[in-house]
Amino acid sequence: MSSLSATLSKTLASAVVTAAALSGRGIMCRACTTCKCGGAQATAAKCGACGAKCGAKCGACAAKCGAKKK
Amino acid sequence: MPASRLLQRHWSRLDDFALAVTLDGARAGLAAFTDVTRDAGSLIQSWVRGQPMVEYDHYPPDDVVDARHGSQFFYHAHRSHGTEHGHVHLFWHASASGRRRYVSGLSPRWSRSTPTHLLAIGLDSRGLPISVFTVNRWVTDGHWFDAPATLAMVDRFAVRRAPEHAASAAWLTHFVRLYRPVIEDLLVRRDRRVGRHARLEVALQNHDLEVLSEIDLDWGADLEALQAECECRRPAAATVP
Repeated sequence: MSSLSATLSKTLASAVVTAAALSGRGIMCRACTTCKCGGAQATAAKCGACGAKCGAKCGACAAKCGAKKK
Repeated sequence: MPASRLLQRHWSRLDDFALAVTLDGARAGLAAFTDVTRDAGSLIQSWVRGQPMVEYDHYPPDDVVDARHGSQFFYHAHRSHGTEHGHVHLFWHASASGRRRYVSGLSPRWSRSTPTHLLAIGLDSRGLPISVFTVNRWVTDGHWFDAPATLAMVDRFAVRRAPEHAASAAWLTHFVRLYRPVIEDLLVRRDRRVGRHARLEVALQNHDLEVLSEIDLDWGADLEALQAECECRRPAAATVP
């Protein structure tokens, strides 16, 4: 018999620690800069250049990410 | 950190049946959390799947979406806040009037609705939930609803049709139910914060206002307090095998 909090502690003891996120894109899509944590729109098209699911025209991004494309 | 006084007060006022339902939900949420940690390494890893994380990117990339329940979430990281590694953003697909519009499979999904932000849950690097917070509309876009309307959406939030993320979705759904009183307080604080500004529409686009309300949590302490409340009433029912 164990308490819920003990079960949680035991679970956490075996959890994988995830490293901090790496720095992201220097410039994001115009849509993203005004809506930085928005949910992906179900019907939105992916931005061709950067692959972000912005669903909007991608002025800044097209230049930045497009240049990076190989 | 001690258990939430708000939750303790709330649980002390519940009748035995409602308290038992709450305890069952808490157990189910913990079981889902344990399953996903055992199978994937952590909640975070169940979405990231061993890839190096990049700031602002969504995990999983297309979000987890339950079209039937109009619910959606994703994990990402981009801010330094205490021990937070990143956070889960929760959305509910609402029309401008706040209704969920059911659409048949042949039509584009949610053509008249947008993902409306409900709240975010901060996780530490092991996947332990450590806070809940709300953000301004410019951060997530979507329609804006007051606290009672948003809470009604929180009550309808459920992710049950996401086979690849069944355990994490189950944890999330149970977690939101367990912390409903805290989320209600969080949303009331959010409204109070934007209510200090003369014009709501201006406040909602004010980039100086980003996080509108935040409450730190200690899930373990809260589980312990819930179990203690149950033990006070029915000692035999408050332990897990």
